[in-house]
Amino acid sequence: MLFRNLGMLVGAAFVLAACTPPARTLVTVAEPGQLAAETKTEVKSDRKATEPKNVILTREDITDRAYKAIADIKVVVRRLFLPDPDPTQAEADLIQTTAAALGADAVVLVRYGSSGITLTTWGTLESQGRAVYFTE
Amino acid sequence: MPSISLNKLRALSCGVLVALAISGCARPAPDLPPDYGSVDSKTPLTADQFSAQDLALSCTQARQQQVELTDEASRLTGVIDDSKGYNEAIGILGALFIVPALAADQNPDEKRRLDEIQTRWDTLVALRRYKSCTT
Repeated sequence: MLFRNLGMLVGAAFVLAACTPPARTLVTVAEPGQLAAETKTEVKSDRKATEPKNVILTREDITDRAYKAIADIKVVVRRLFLPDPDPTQAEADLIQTTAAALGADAVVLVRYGSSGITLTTWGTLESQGRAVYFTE
Repeated sequence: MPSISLNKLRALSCGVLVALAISGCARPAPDLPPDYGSVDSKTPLTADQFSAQDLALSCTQARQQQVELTDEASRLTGVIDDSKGYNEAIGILGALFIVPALAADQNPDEKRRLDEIQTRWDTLVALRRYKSCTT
């Protein structure tokens, strides 16, 4: 009896674990220029986190202030189930929050993909950008 | 061994084909260029990375080209967004194996052009840094 109950408990735990929904948003952080690399070294920033709302987000480069790159960031927003809302650019701008956690002052060269259906999702939108901090 | 009817097998194959057909609907974000902007960059910009025509562009001309690229990208993004509903409907039908022979509208020309626009944009952004443009 005890073994049967235990077995049912373990079975239920497995079922519940399998029910954990996959994340809607995936974030990848890599050394500058290493996003596409097969193996990525972990990025460590010794800078204090900044306020996300103060992090500049731009498709351009910043040429009037000297900066150093901290990391390249990629965000993938996925619509996993049909009733879910479509991924938006605002969600893909999670790169701003991620950059702030690394102590960045800006994210430069921001670019977006085009939202569309993939084999495993009802919509996927990607964004990429380079987190930098100003040195002067 | 369980038997499977020919019709079921056909429907299954067609469903897989549709799934494969729509699997390329999303366009990934283009890769970032090397880090040429950092003060300690290991890959600084040099003149030989640009064509002679690009080097002859003034800062204003480069900026004007960027404005035109932005306008074109907005238009193309609108075209792709307009076909999202169609692709979704095809996905649903494909999943139900009802109309598996329909081809999904993936806007390949628009997506290819958007990638070209991003490549050109990156060149112009790098050129403006190389030429120390301020406006």
